[in-house]
Amino acid sequence: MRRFTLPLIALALVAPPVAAQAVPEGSQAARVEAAYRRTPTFRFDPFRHAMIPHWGFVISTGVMAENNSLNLTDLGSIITLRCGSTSLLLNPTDAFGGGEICPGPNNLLPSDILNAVNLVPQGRGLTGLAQGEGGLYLGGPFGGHFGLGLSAQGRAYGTFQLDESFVRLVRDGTSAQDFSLGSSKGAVLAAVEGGAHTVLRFGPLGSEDGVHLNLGVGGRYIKPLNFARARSTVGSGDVIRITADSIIVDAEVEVANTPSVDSTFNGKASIAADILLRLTWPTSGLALEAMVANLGTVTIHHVEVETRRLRVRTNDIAELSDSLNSFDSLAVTDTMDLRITLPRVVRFTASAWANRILQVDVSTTLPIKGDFEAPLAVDVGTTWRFIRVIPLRAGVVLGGHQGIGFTGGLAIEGRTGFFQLAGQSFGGFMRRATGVGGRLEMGFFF
Amino acid sequence: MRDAWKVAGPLVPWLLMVGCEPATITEAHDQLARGPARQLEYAIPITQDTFTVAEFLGDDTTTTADGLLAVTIAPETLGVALGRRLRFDNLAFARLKVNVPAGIPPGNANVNANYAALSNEARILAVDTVVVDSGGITITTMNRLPGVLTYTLTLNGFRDSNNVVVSRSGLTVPAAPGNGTYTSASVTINLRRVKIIPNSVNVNVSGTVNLTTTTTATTADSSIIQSGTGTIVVERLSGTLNPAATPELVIAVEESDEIPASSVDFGQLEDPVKNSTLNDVRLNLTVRNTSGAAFVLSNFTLGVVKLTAGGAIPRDGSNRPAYETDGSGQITMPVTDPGLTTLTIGKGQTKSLSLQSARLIDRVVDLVLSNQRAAVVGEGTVRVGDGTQSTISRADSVSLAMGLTVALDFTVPPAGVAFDTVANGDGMGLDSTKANDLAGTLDSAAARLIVTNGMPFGVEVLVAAVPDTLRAGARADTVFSRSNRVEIGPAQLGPAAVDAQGRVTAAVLDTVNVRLTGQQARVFFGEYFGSGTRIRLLPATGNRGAIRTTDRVILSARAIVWVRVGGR
Repeated sequence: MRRFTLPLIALALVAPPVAAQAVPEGSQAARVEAAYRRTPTFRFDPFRHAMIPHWGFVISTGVMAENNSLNLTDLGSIITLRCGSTSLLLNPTDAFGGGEICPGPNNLLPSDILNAVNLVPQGRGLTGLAQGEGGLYLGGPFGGHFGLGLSAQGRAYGTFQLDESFVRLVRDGTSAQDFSLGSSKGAVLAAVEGGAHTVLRFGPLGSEDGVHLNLGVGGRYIKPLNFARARSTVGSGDVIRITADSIIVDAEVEVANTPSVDSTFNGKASIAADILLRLTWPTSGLALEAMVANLGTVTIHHVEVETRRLRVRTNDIAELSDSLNSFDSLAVTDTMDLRITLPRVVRFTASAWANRILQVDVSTTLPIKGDFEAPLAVDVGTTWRFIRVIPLRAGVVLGGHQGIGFTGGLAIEGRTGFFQLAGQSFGGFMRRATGVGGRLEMGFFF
Repeated sequence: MRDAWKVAGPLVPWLLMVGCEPATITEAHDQLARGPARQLEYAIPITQDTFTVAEFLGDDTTTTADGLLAVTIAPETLGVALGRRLRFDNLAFARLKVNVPAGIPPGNANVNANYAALSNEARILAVDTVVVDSGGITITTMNRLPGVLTYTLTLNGFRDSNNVVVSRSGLTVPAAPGNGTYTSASVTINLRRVKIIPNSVNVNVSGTVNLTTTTTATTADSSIIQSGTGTIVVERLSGTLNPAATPELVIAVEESDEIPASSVDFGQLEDPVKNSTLNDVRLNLTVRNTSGAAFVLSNFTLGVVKLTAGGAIPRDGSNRPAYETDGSGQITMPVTDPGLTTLTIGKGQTKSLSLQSARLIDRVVDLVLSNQRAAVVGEGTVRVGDGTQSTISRADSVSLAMGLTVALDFTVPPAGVAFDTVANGDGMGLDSTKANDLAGTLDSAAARLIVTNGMPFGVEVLVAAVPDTLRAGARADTVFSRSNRVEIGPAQLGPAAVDAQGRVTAAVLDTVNVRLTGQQARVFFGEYFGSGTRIRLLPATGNRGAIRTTDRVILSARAIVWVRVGGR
């Protein structure tokens, strides 16, 4: 991280005043509160509300989910075929109560499954991720140089990936002969958090129009509620080879989960740290930001871990079937405290005013490795302030699993509160979207 | 938390999914098939295995000295109770004549005579001892004297079970008128448990004649005559038994033994065996003589008869067993010592013979596998004794234990041997909708069998399958006549190269391909299916096949399935 932040600070201190942009004094752009110039993102942002302009509290929630293969109509079709109607989504009581999730007729046919797998793009496997959060924030500025906020929220992450080397076995047939589980995995973590974040504001530095430095530091107390993970663990020996003469399988899968929601505070919670560095040139409307968040690990108590390995070398399909039938009985189960690394977020953002009413934001979120893997994502957003307090937002999302995505939203930003609503669509619009997201935020100032 | 999710959770996905639900099921299927049209190929191994014929047979298998695979048939025993057949019929005592001269005045006159009663019975004189099981001798005494004859009969050489000489006293013969005519009286002596020493037999007649008048010349000659006849069943016979001297030692025998169906187990090869000709069946004969006398079996044969429904042996006009016949005549085989015309079993000896009996057993197997009752009949003559000191008793017998080793050496008709079989199988368990869908998705499927055939037979297979379970007793013809049948094949596999004896000299590598369309494969997608299979066993060169234990088929089966996806 230092290799990113130090040059950024040095640049801020030694740089001459940036050439003025088209932000004349008195324009909408110039009159926008500095806090509102930090455009909200759909992605993980622990400093989301740390710069609100006045003391108050914020209620916010947001979800996003995406995959790289099935759009909403595909999913609707699968649900309709499997359960008779998507209306079951309105009444999931049976499912969560342990009842049958789809009491309707099952019209999902073998060809539907093959056709659905056929939608997985070549060379990429089947991937998806989802995250959601919701909570309360209380905070505000202490003078012009210090801000403090406290937050309480619930958060969930989930990712899955069926490696291309495995998916192509079903999608493309056995012509390739060599397959594997590869990096197939999936993980879900649900947690509650209590956090405190501060922002130190310095500037202008160097001159009256010099750069403003915002340094944010915070931490969150994380209490895991539920965790589940499945992944291929055999490593270099992972092989599925199917030829016309033989079948060779050497695969190992580790399945870990917390059998029940851990609602106790048993001292196994963990701390995550968040750091923000933001440079702004108010008169020019330019801002540069670097954020590193979710630094830390989480210890999850009483995780049941099963390891199942399938090793078959046969030229008899029946023997493979027998081996699969005995796969369950080979499970070795351990109950342990599991330490996992949180999905570390590293993001760089730049924003500038293009004219009196248009702010352009570009951010890059670096790929995340580990259990909650996510690809490189680039968000390009525009904020249109035809009316200063009612910004309209539109943008595109590049990278990610789903290809190009689109975002849009609006906000009402006042002196006594604010309201923001935004949505996004990945891979296409509406029915053809392979991912969607939404945010709702409401702030009330004292 | 859970309650909150119950309330809030549904709203989000519903909002996302609203408007995305297809209007019809068909539309939903089409939506998922929006991907590119492709035909996928899945090639997977089904099995690779080695099969031997032994796997298709029952448990009773063995290997012949020539290395051929063989089925053993449980030993059956023909027992001939020779001891019970020994008897002397129509034994006749020598005739005793006593002359009382003329002029003997009235009053008691003594009579005392001895004679070798068995002197005319060379057949019994040839043995040393005869112990009688049952039977007796009837002695008739004739008197032409004018006075009652009262006498004691003593059978020297006959001793009862207490070793006491057999005798009878107080025997009388009425007085004759004295004009030359006779009166007579008979006595029957039960000889049970009596031991006879033929060469010591001397009968004594001792008594008096109470003359009422003076004897005359008319009554002087052959005044008293005694003779005897009888039959004895032998309990034990000893001596230098010689059938030439004692014809009773030459015994005609006929015994039979039914071959039960349970003894003939060719496993799954019953039909091929029934419809082909066996070339090599070893009859392992164990002949046991329990007696102290040698036996010689003459003109002894084993033959096969088809028993009546009641289990009786059918007879010809001569009351002989009506043997099964083939192109060479009656199906019988001689039982002899190698190179001889007879079979000799010494005293107390057990002798083993191995006889080629393919012709005989081929018919037995055909009958039994056709649900007929079949029996092996042993018929011939047994000569007891060889002129040396010997003993035979009533309990003695000669038994022939027949162990059968049926080598799998067949001659198959040039057109092959056809047989049918039916079976029910489990399908993939899909309901009708899913089965139809899969049939539509499946473009075609092919099974490729790469076979290294080390068997002296080829095979042609034609399968008909129908999409439901066959009823008990259903025949293959029924399946092949069903309009909803799916026929697979015929697929033909060639035989290996063989020598003149039908033994494999070189395995043949052959490939069999069977291809089904998706609609043809539909029959296997339901819960169950029934199938009828027509199999034709094809002969190798010379139409003969001899299967060795080393003969095998190496099968490598793979399936290639072509599936259509996308394109809508």
